[in-house]
Amino acid sequence: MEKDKILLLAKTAFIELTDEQAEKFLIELEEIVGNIKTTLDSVNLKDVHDGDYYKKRLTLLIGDSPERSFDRESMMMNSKRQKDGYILVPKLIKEDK
Amino acid sequence: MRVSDIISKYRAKEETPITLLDGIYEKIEKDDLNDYISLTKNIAYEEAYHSKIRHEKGMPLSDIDGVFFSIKDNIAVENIRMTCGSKILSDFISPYSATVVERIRAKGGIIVGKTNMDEFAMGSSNESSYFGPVKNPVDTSFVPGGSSGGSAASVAASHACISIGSDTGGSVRQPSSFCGVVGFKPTYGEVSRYGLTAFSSSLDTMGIISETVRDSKRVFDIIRGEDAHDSTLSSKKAGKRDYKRVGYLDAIPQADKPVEEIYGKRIEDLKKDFELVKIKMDFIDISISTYQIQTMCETSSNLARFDGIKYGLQSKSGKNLREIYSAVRGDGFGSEVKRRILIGTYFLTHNEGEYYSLSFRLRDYIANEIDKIFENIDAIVIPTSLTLPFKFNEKTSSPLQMHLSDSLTAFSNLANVPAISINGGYSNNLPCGIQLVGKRFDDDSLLEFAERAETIWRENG
Repeated sequence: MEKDKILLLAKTAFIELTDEQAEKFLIELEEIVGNIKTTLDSVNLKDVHDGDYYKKRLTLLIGDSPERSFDRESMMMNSKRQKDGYILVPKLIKEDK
Repeated sequence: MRVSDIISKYRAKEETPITLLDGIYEKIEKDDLNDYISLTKNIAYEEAYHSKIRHEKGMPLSDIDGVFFSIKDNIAVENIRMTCGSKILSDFISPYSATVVERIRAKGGIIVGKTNMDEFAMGSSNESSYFGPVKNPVDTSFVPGGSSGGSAASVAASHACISIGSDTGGSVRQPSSFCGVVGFKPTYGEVSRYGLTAFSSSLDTMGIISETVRDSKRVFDIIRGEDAHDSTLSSKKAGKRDYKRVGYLDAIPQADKPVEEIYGKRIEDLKKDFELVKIKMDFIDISISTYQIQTMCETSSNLARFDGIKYGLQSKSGKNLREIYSAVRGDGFGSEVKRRILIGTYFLTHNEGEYYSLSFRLRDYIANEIDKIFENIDAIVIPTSLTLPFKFNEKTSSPLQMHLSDSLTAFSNLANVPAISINGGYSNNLPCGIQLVGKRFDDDSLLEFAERAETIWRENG
């Protein structure tokens, strides 16, 4: 794995890394991912079933019946950047000049 | 601190919930274990006052009325800070309570505080917490295990009677082993996860830490059962039955010698009452790799919600949202969390997520292997951890070695079976947990068996 790959993963995951952190994670990721791949190479995948049981069992969706769970005040109480009851974020759309 | 002892004191009018609570808070301060991130004195004293009145009238709400609970800091308690052991949530106030917390309070349980933990439940030593490591009350130069290290320490140090933790790959059982207490992980689908901050949603389970199996049983009966907020709960129940045949491993190659010795002695102790059957568990190595892939992929998705916009760390600014997200997450997450998110992102993006898909197939494989073992036996008995408690900083330089701490516990999360760790004895004054694993949804029978094993081991010294 190259350092560029770590930086791409960090960008995809929205995590700012220093150069020093990127170097350190590169070594650790190679070791951990390498160990996982070596273990999996030892498995005879012919004995491994399709995995549908867990996908079906654990991907359960609750009925879509909207209800009001929390009031606006509770939902906003942890927000530090707000104005007139709305959360402030940087402008997403550029104005026409 | 056992539930029955506390209730006896209330009945004999020797103590009240308020006097005991005074003693607990004094002891927490004096012991200085760093097992709590937040103490909830205001609500605890209010609850203790009401409990005192009920006991005086002879009308307690339940047999946990006036019993003291600690709650892991990734479980929500309304209007109380919930940090998940992370800088990114260090000032977050929860707007609601988890179902387990509501059920405990409805029965008169008193919440003493929120316990320290590995950041977002990722770790096996409690050294990844933003709020500093927890000291093991058995010997403060050793780690308490993790990720529910503060919870296990709080029970072992009598800073609470019961703690509610979370167990994704051993996070309740391994620290219970390290602190010499009981740690129970029920079958996935028995206890509502509503209010538990998701780490790896398909594996996360609420768990109970207590001094005795009986106390875990008591609390399990209160917190289990249907909840409209958690669609993965199941009404499936196995009939109660007596366990007769118990499976054990002849050798555990990677285990430390003291662990093997204690395990061997405890197996011998069981031979008088049970038929012991040698079994093989060749899937241990595969289970760790499967566990790593599943948890890291799911965590990279689950933790995407922490972006510094609506709540949590909001100190960073930027030209656009991407800059704010990246700065907040870069500053707010610790090394272990970043490492797992990056590996999860790698697995999810590599060859269209082939590793994540494979991990589900491997989960089926592991579950099928476990089911085959259970065709001939009622329970599996194995050590909880390959090692005894270790010293601070002993494993922090090798994340890979730290991840292997879950070797003997992760398979029960992957196969979705219940498991409980009981203290099996001591070596050089350090505790060693022995784990009992049951069939899926066989939680009641497993707890009965665990209570018998606990009695046998206690009688044999």
